[in-house]
Amino acid sequence: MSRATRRRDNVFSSFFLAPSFIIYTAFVIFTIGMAVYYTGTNWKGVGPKTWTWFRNYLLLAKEADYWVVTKNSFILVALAILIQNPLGLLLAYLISRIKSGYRFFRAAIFLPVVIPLASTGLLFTLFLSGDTGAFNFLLKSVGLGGLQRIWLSDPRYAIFAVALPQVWQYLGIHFIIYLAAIQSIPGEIMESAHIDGASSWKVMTRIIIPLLFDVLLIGVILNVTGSLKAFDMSWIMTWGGPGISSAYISVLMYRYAIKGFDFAYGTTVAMTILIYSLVFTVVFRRVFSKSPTDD
Amino acid sequence: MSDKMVMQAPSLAQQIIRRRIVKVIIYVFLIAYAGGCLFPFLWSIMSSFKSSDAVLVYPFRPPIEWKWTNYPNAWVKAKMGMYFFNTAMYAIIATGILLVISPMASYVIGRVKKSNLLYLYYTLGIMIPVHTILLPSYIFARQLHIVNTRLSIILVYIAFNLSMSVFILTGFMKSIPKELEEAAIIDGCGRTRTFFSIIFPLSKPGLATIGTLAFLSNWNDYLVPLIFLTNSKLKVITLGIQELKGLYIQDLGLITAGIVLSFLPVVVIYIIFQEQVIKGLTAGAVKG
Repeated sequence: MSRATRRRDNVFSSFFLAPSFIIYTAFVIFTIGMAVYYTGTNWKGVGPKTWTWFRNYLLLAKEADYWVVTKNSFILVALAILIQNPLGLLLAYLISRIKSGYRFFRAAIFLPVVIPLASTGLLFTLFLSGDTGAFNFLLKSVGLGGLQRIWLSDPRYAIFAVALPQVWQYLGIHFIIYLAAIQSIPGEIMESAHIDGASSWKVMTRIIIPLLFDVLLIGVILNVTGSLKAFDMSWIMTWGGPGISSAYISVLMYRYAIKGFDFAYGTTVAMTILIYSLVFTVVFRRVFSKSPTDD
Repeated sequence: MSDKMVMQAPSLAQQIIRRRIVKVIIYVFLIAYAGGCLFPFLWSIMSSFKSSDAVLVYPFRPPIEWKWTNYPNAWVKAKMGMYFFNTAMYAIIATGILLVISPMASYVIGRVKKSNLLYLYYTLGIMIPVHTILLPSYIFARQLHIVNTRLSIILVYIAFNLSMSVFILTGFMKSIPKELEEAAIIDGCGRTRTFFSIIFPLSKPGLATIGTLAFLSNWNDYLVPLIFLTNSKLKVITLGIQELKGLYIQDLGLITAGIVLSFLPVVVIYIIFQEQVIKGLTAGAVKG
């Protein structure tokens, strides 16, 4: 390549990169740096700031509220892992075995994924509301009136009432990923298993799960990183309440930084989401990856 | 595992019957689950044509008396129409700009400079939870004096979707055969022309994927406008949903009409661009 061409390529490249580079650097890269910096200060969003090193993190570690919301976030993580993986895998396996209706079922199961969490959040608020909700109505009409609860205002149930709709809504992602993976298993393997008379259970445990192991690991990582980011449903359905009984980590961030004007402290709360996600992803990959180098 | 299986192999007739039964069970289960997925949609559409009392007393019955005023009320009185237009505007403009600048960047990263460093830099954002950079972004926008403007929302939406778009498009562009590009250059096309007349049109499937993904995530977003916007004339539909809950919780017909309006565009897009939507929303998983 001649020098003139190379120079022309450089000019061209800078010109073509510039718009995205500027926006991305300003609002993503630069802001990560700012976030890290703010967590080391006592800034309120306006006025002077003092450098306080790790004081925010230490305060946070001693704060009972923070551990309540962290527990709530991890309840969502656990529910997502325990429900979305087995059920998503089962649905994917069943659908891979049928011929008629395949497209319809696939489309229906994925549909909830595409709509705003806020909309489903409000919808489930209506369903689950204590005296007028359709869910309690349903319980009563099938003779389970004794199980009626004020789901969203009872601190014992609120977190589940907020978390389970989200688990339901995003199950489609796991389902679709597992479906694609099952369909990529060579047909002969499945066929010969069926000819041998292997039961579905054996096909599942001896063929599908081992072959899909790496994909299942990705599924679990998605559960963790996705669930730790949850915010919308909690804020729409209960404002994190009663008290903070159904608040996630991000809800506490919002309450401190925006409602409480404690900007640096709120940013510190948000930073812990990043820390948990990164630590989990790295450790999890280390533990399960067959060849840890080929990332 | 197969010895035992073969010994117990049932007769052909038994096998056929068993297969039929299994099939029925599979379909019953799938119909039940798919029904559970569609139910909230059908329920809110059905309820949006009922009076509030009818929703309360007969929550699971189709409307007896059709009430048509819920939609005009939600659209005008509850301002869902205004929020609808705002959301559409932000989502469409941000997606449109993204569809121009991210392929430009991906072309340089994947085909002109073939730079791993740039690729790493651009895709770093995939791992960053939006929450962590949201508050500093707000401060940054405040310093630029664009908080509470349409511009701030659009810029943030572009920025937050860039990493995933470059990730998907760079992979896509690398798969375009080199010969096509070389032929164009030999014909005397400059890089810019090669890009717009060869690479850009050939990237259409990739562009469709990132376009639908970006549009959906912009439309569905709640947290960015919640933090960035206080001017009610600029608010988006998810903030409108929050307002419905606060102001009209007793009017279930109006509320469900508002909910239908909030998901109607994304459902329509999903029905039209199903494959692209699925590809886009699961693209992150490929990387893991």
